[in-house]
Amino acid sequence: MSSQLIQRHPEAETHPSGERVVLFHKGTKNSIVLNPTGTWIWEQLETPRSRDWLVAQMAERHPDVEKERLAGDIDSYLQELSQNELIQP
Amino acid sequence: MKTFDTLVNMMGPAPRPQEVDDWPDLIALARRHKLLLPLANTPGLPPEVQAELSSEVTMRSLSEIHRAGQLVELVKLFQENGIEVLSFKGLTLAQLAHGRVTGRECIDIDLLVRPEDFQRSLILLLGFGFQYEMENLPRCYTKFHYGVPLCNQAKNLTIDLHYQLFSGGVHFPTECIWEASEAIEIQGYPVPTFRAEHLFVYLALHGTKHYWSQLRWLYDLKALHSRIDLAQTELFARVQKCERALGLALGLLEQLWGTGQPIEPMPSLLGDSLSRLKGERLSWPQYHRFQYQCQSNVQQRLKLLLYTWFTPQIHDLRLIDLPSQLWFVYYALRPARVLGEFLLKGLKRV
Repeated sequence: MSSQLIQRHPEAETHPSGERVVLFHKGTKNSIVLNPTGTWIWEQLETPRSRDWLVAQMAERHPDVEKERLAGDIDSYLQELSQNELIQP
Repeated sequence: MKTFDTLVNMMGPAPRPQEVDDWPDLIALARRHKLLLPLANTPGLPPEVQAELSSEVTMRSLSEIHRAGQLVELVKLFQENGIEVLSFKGLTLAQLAHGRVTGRECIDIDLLVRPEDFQRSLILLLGFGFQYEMENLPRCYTKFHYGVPLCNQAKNLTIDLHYQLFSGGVHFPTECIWEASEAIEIQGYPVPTFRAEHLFVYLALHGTKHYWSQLRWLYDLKALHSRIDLAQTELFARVQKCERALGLALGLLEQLWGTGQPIEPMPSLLGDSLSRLKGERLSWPQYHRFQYQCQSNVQQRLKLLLYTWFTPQIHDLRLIDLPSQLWFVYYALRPARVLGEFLLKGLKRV
């Protein structure tokens, strides 16, 4: 499952807003605001990526943080994006 | 660098945030020119500046997204009622020039309808919860003015409903614009708007009318510049008889960001516009001299002169509420009031 590629939903609009990004779904009309970490994840998903790849990249950025914690954070973000139909397999 | 030059640099193709020595001043200036959104998205901003701007620009982005949803609803409302409508400036400009509705800060929604549909559109919007933004609007206001601002407090939305794009003093027929109108997708819906070349010429004239007091207008033109066919744009400006306004806009773009356009020899207009952009206040006679100089021929200067002196403005219309059969009297009221004010000022000085 975790090596499955995840990509942005074609109905998702990206609105960069400084260090954050506002995402808007053209179908549901919902908007969500991502914090800088969520924004980084969203930027990585400009091309399809796996959850494992995201965790590995995040671990490189934050070598002082436990990998399990980073993985948990990424899972939370991906879950929120998925619930809002902003990403898809 | 002075703050204005720094802001110009930050809005250009090669921003140098490392050279900014007074961020509070720069942020204040960007706010005044309504350029906070693009400033916040400039690459390489120091983290503390990003953090400072974060909440404000996020709110502005959400606000523009919300406004875009309302624009789509309005366009659908007009279409369902069989009224042709074009959205211009604001959100459609943001989408066309910057690729997203949050690419620039908007204030209201500008809509153009055909003159014969204006009253019907007004009734439609009043029935949809909008009201006149100006209190005690004279009954004859839309007879003498090319549009009217409406607001809907529940929706926190202002619309400028137009049936022409400029006042009677400026030659700018809209037939070509209607014929060549295009649709741009906003939130998945095709919103009718101006063709890019037509929008560019309109914005050049609009900036000239407002004496280029905001850098945001040139920032939009810079973004739009790469999306237009310049030969088509110049041809349209000739048809609309506003070559000088277009030349001035292109000259300003060249001066600020070096867009590679040849500058027409109009140094005084360029100098005045740059002074205004930098915040210099100009007197009433300076403003009118600038407007006359920006007209492309003698007939247009004369038309503007007649309009300035004889077409009643809101202050004239508020002097007295005349019945529609006597509205022509306002044409005499206008010069009488303006002359009267001059005389009174002169007497006070004596």
